[in-house]
Amino acid sequence: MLNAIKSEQQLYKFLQRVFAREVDAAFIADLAATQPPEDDDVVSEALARMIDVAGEEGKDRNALLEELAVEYARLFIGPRNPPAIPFASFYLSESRALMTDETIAVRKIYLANNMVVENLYSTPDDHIAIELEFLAHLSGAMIEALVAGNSERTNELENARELFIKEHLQQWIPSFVEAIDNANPHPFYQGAAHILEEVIMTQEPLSV
Amino acid sequence: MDVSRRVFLKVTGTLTGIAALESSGISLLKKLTPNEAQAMEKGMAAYQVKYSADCMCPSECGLEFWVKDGKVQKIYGNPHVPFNDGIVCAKGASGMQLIYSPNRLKYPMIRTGERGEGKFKRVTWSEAIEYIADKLVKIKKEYGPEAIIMDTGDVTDRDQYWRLFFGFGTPNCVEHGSICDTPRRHGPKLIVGGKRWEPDLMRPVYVRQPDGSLKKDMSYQTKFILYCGWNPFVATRIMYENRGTVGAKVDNGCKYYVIDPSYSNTASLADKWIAPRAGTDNDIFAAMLRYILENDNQNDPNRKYIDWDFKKYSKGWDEFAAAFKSWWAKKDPINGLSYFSVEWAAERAGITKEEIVDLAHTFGITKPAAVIWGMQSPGHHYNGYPGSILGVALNVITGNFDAPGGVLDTEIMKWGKGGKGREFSFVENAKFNDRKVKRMVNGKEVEGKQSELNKDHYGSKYPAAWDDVVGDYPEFFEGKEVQIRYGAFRGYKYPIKAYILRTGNSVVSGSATWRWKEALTAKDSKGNYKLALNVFIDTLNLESALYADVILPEASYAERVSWSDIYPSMPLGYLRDAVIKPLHESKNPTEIMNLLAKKMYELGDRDIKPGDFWERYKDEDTFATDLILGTPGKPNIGTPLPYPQYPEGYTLRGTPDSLEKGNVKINHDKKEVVGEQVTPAWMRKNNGVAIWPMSWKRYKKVNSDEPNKVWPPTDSKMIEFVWDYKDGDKRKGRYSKYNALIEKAGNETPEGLKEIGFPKFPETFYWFETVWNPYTNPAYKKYAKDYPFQLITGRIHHSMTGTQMVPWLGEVKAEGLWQPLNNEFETDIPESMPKGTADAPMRTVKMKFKANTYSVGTIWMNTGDANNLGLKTGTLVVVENPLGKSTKGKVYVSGGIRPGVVKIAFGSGGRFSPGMGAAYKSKDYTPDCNNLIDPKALSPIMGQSAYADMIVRIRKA
Repeated sequence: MLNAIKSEQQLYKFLQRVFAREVDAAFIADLAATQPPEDDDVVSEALARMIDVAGEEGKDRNALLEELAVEYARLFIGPRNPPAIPFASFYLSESRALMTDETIAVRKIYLANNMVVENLYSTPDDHIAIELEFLAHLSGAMIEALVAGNSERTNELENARELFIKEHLQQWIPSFVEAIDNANPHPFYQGAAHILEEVIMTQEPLSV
Repeated sequence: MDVSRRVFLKVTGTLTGIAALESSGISLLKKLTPNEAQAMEKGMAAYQVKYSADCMCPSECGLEFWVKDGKVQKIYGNPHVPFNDGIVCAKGASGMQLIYSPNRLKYPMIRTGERGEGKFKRVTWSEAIEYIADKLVKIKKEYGPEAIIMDTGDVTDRDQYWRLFFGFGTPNCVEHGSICDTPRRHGPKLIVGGKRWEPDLMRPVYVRQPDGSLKKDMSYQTKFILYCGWNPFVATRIMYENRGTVGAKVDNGCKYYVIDPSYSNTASLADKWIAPRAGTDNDIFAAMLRYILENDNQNDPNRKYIDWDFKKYSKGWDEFAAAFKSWWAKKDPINGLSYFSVEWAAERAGITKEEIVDLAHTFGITKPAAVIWGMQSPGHHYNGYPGSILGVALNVITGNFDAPGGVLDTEIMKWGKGGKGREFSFVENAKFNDRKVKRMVNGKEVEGKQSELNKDHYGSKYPAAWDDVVGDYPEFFEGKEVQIRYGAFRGYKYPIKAYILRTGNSVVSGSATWRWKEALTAKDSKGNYKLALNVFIDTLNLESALYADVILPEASYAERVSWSDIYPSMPLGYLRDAVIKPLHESKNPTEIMNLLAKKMYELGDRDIKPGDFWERYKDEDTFATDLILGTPGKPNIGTPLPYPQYPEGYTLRGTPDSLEKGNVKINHDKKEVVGEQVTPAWMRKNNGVAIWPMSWKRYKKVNSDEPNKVWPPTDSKMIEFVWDYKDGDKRKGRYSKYNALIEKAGNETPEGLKEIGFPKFPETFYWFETVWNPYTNPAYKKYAKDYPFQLITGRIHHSMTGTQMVPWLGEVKAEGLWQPLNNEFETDIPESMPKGTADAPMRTVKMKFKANTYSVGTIWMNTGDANNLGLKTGTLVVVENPLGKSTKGKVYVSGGIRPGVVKIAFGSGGRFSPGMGAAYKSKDYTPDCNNLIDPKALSPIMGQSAYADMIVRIRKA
């Protein structure tokens, strides 16, 4: 179980980094040096695709970084209307705006877990990367609780995680992923989107 | 343990290899102690009311922001600000859609593709600043700092940018006003040193009573208004004018007429709508003045039009009248009639003589009254100057200038704030602009002031363009050199290499859209852009951003500190406070100024002094306070005297409460009454607004009929109908310094004046015809048959550039210009009613809008014209001008527009940035009127694009 949670935390961190901003040289170098998984599940396949992009032979690394940076900006930032707004409230609120009541509800969930957005009041709390970081934080806390043998705390954290995923993330991630898919995305971000969808939408029993 | 989750163990090994996740991960969350978290949670849900002002449109209404959890929850009008008196329109109330727009500019970006292509990447602030500063410093070294243009677009918050660039060494700092309506303002500027004339309709005003108290006065005195080409019921720049017009009508029986070829919203409530040919405002005003002069009879109460007392407070009326009358003997080649006669104007304007007589008589006999000319009349015509001058003359000679219920100059009694020519910035910017610099001119080193390198004021084209010229930028972007013709650097030439645009969309509105695109993408033989640097600074994502090399996201109007004071009747200022933190990575103008200044200093520039920038302005409040040092800075004048306890004519400085209570020092040497300085902190404690008392007839002494020689701010401190005159051995008048420059330059005429055959700037009344008008200018008569329609423009308040990002506003139709004539399209919209359980979140859904259910920009044309061409509402047409340019759109057919005239609203169509929301989806069948203007038709004195002078033909697409 510990390993399961660790692997999950790794995935959250991985996705957090991919969606937080454009990737950098170190990240791409590491990814390119990674052995692609050979399984045929959605996550493995998508990850393999991202590794392929990172390690494409004959491709200039700087050119690739630029290409991914431009694609990141096109999909998520602008200056034209970005096709895939990376904030939950855009998909959940009546006004289709940012910093809505739905965003404040997410802030309260973070606070209940003693967390707060670094750039509070400037960065809307429900950016996909922040929500993934929060999940990674919960996983980290669970790992600590498990190691300490504190099952009450483990349960508490698991419930918090499940609630956040089911009641919040699952409400908007399909729309977000669909928006990416519809925007003719670079395979790198398409891969990331599919991993994201799988990680958030799929819940299977954990064998301890 | 009841745990459920997907196990992704399979990829664990894979991800472990990504060490970068641990070493350079980006952390967006931080931990709190349980106590800290609890305290924060407890503090949530409390409302704070903060006062600020709108900036979604140039009205800048005073607003109340209700803020909770660091977020704006509600926007109301600030009831303490007289400008809007607590009112907020739908646009102002929709501010959250802009502040929290998912599409606003969030991070600095650098272009990676070609200009216009829209390919950018996110960069850090330091990367963006370094990129810009490095290029600026290099351009300065190679071409001189004057090769850089700082265009601050909107008026508000320009001062940080002006300060930076004046400090860096370029005299070429301009603002949005240069493309707004400079001919409209010309008459007031020449004659009283002012700007925009509006009716005395701002209420409440605070008026001193005989017992010394101040009365909040809501009453209207106005009895008659003539709005010419001005539509305050839609384009609410002067917010109080729409409620005030209705208020005066209802409370005071005021009547108002509207002159406009289209049946505007303002016309719809008017007592009379007069629809002349486009571009004949000057003719109507001239005929009104001639009629009044010829028919005035001081002994007949029904003909006593003129209040001759005006001569006591004026200079040069006789010269003006003589010049005006000298035209009466001449015959107009277009119709063979005597200039300015009623017959002549009727013929040119295509209205009846009786209508003109009625206008002149009704205005002349009804007092108090106001003649108002707007942006769409003299404001946007090549020859708007005579109209604007005549408008002033009409108001002055009838005794309506600065009379209770008459017409007020809304520029020259407002509090001293920012900008060129006022208080602090004047002194500070002059400090920079007066610096001595050296240039090599024809092989000789010449020394002069920095300001003498100004592209316009000392350039070969428009030296009297005191609001600067933007419409001719494309030719300089393409490599034409600025030629300094006047002043110390006569003969010097330099190129324009950098263009910094802040809160404007000049690609769409600077002049002809196609011309800007062409110029910004022009390359030299080596494949480099001729304009080496193009920077875009804004909150909104507009078309011009697509052509930028670097984009800097600026804090929205709710996230930065500045002041508002739009066109009040008396000294008035209100705080535009930062009510929330800047969102995303946007920064306020003070920070942007400091960052750029510091970087250029680090790169070795020594014109930048730390003490002028980052060392002095550590926060926005300090800058904001400096901007209004010594405010209101206006004299204690008028009737009733604002402060009878202080000497008449002394300059008032300090908060209204300190002046009221007498917490002041009186300096008799400087003739000043100095109370406590107004600051943002003072404003926050005082409902966000400072209001000083109103008075009228401010050009005369309070107890006698003689000029006070303090105001208006002309050379003689009187109303001046002459603009280049001798006073002893001194040469005075608004044009005199330009004529002196021309004479010093061997009488070499500026190119603008040459176009109209004037050797120098006229000493008094002058007249010339407009361009592209076959009905008034014989040179264009030949086009009348093939191009039978005059094209006019106007604006739709809720669908202007910035607000097309606000989806809900765009749906509302307006006049014949913005109508539900869309093609079927699909877009995301919020679901209006939640489905399912009550607590289910509302969701946005993709919705198909059927054809003709959503408002888009349209071409407004007359029913008869449409019938003749076989067009009906909704027909897609091509509108072509004689220059071979065209635009496409659907017609809206109604009787509410004069035959032979078509109207298209600014910025309403052809919007090619996806940032424009639904407007983008209709870009292929909505018209861009600016694509049709003549980029070479710049009005000859101020150089403004002639937005309203064009003729077109129309055919089915």
